[in-house]
Amino acid sequence: MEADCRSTSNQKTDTANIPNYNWKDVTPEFFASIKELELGELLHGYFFGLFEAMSAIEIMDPKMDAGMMCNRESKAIKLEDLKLNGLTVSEQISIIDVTLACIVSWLEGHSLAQTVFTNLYFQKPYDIEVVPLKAFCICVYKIIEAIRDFANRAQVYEEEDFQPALYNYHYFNEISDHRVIGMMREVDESINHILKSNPNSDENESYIALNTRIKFVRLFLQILLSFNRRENHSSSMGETQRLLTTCGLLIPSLIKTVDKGVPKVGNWYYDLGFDPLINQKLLPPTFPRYTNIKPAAEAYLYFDSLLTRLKQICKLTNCVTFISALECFIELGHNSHLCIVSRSVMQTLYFPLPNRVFGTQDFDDCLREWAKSFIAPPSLIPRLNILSNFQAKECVNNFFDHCTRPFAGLIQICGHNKARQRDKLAHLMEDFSALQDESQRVDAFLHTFSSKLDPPREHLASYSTWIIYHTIRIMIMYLLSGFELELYSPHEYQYIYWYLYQFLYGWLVSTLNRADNVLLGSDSPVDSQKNRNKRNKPKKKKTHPYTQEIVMCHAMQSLTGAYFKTLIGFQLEGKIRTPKHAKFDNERVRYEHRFAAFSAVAVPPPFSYNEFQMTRCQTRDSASGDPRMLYMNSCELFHQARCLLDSIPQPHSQQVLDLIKVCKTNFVTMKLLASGYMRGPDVSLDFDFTTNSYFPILKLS
Amino acid sequence: METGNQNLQKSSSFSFVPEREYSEGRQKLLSWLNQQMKVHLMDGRILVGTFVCTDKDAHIILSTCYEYFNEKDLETGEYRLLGLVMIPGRHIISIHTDVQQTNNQFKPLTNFEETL
Repeated sequence: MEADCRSTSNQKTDTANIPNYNWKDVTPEFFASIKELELGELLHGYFFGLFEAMSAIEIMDPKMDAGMMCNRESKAIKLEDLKLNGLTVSEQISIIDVTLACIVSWLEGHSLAQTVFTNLYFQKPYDIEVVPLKAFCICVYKIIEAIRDFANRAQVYEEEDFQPALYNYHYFNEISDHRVIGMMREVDESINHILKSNPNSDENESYIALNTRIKFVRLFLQILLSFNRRENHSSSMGETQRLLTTCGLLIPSLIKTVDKGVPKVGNWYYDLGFDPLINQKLLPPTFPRYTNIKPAAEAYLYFDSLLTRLKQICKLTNCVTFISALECFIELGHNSHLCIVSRSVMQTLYFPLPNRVFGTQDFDDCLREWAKSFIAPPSLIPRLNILSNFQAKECVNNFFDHCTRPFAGLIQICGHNKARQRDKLAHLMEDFSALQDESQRVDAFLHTFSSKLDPPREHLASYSTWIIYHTIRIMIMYLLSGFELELYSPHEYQYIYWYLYQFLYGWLVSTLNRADNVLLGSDSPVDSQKNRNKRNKPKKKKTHPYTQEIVMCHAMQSLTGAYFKTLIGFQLEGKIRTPKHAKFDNERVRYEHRFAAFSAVAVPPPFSYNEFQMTRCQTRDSASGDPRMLYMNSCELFHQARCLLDSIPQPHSQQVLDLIKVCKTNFVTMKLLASGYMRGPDVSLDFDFTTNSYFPILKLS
Repeated sequence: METGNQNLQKSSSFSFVPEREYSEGRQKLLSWLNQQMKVHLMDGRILVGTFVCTDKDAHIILSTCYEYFNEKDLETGEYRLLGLVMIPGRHIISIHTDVQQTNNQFKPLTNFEETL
């Protein structure tokens, strides 16, 4: 590849800083000297050892050495031979298809240098004389810029998800987004003009295909930009949705017309102006990643699912309260194919500015409202006027000030990829543990005010209950994420389900009950107003605000309990093998490792391995060591869980439907086992996580 | 695990051995440690980095290593940062050390370690 073919960015600015070496050839001396070393001996400095040596990249190893792959005899055409005019329509279609496929590969975590920028036309788009292609290239630059902007603002990517580096490729700041969209529109019109002026040409189908592509790329850019323009939010979301629908409708015809491009024979890829090796020097100092660019049809399917995801994300703007937004984030997160674009857009949609919900509401206020509707702390009820006291006000303000970071963190964690989520949840527990401390102090302090009220109000356990509720939910998320990431081996399932069954869901129920009682007992300001109006009428029966969530928790408790008992049964039968290594891989070590993150949390306190062992022994003893008794027990629990889930008002969400299916199937299996079928050493056991990623369907064969 | 511990003990005991009489070759190698080194490879590439380790088969480890595709790149300074690399001896054509620095710098602490 000729030097001028490389991006101008390659010219390092620090060329002048190269130290002046005075090289001396020591080759013969060196090779003579090393003969004195023993076989296997390493000669090295004090601070360098075998350990450090292990992390070195091996030169001339094709799997590690990216530079080696760069054979200077590239098959690609030289830049001066690149066709800048007179490109056929089918060539343009192919270039667009491959480039869009490159964008998809980039979004799947490859570097821009190995994907989009392998297109030689991207070196100098201004020099392209074919207008549609020129406009397309500039539009793609804008798309890249928009996506990078989302990713950089949301900060929910890690190196394994996304490579934002632009390698100093030209940015085209001088052209505004509007101008680019205008250019694309002009291209659109001119192609339409060609079509009209020559209605019966053979090339018309190709022109239509090209036009669809131009339209698609323009709409895609407009969609991305529309997520940023949300000053008058309710209306512009409709605009986004309209664009999403229009754009989505183009995809079938895009897929159908992929074959309108040039035939894929010989060096077609290179002849179109793509050189996978052009940016070899820009690659990071890691082992080479081979970037397989997807086939165009698959790339368009990716865009299709991306548009669907963005449509779902639009719903987020309806979630005004913190908890509804959090639930929305968690629900969308269940879609394991959440890509970097949708994850980032979600974050920037909720927090366009730091700590400003949807850019309009202070996150602080949002949290206050959520706390108020959760448990109605007396200090947040304006009627009671506790905050008129300067100290009380200061205290509450400080508390919410401290809440914003961990709570915003919780939202942000939902944007990360699953593996990182788990990591970050563990750290978040520490933050929430600190908040627990503070909330208790704040409650105690405010109680001195609220107890003087007439009638006296209880302030204890208001904010602290609110914080504990979130802490437990984080702990549950943390434990369950291990199933999703397939971290646990089957012999570990026992104590994970036990912990959920015995403690976490139980605690969650009691926190919700407490909140429920407080809300019912103390008339919230709305209620008291109503009561004033209806003083003489008989008191209407108040609805319990948390009934549904409590039922759900009870169902989960039964479900996890059922698994716990089943697994003990399986272990008694010897169907699950436990590690027996004396020192490093015994059950205690694993247990302590799995729950290590919980040691940071004060409430609920961590439960030790001994407690688990005790419960397990008791459970075994109560069944007098008979697995059938345990299966019977778990059969009942599965049934109970199912009944509870059934009692949740219709329509059921997909999640509930899946859980019901899991309960039903496992109920039948357990019943079979309890009555003595399908037992014996030749029956193998399988956990099927396809229906629900946390709660497997038990399969015997 | 256990063998690892033994190695650790062995190496730590070695590092406190008082100065031994080193042969001429070893002394030369030791003097090059932590110096800039330029290695020409069979495929025409040139690697420049800090020499930190070698063995009997001339496997060379360079830290903060820069890769130049050819002599021309070396002049223009068009490089790619590789970091820590290990060059198998059989791919090496020639080795250069930087004389300036060798003269200026003091001798760093070194030790031998027999691994394996």
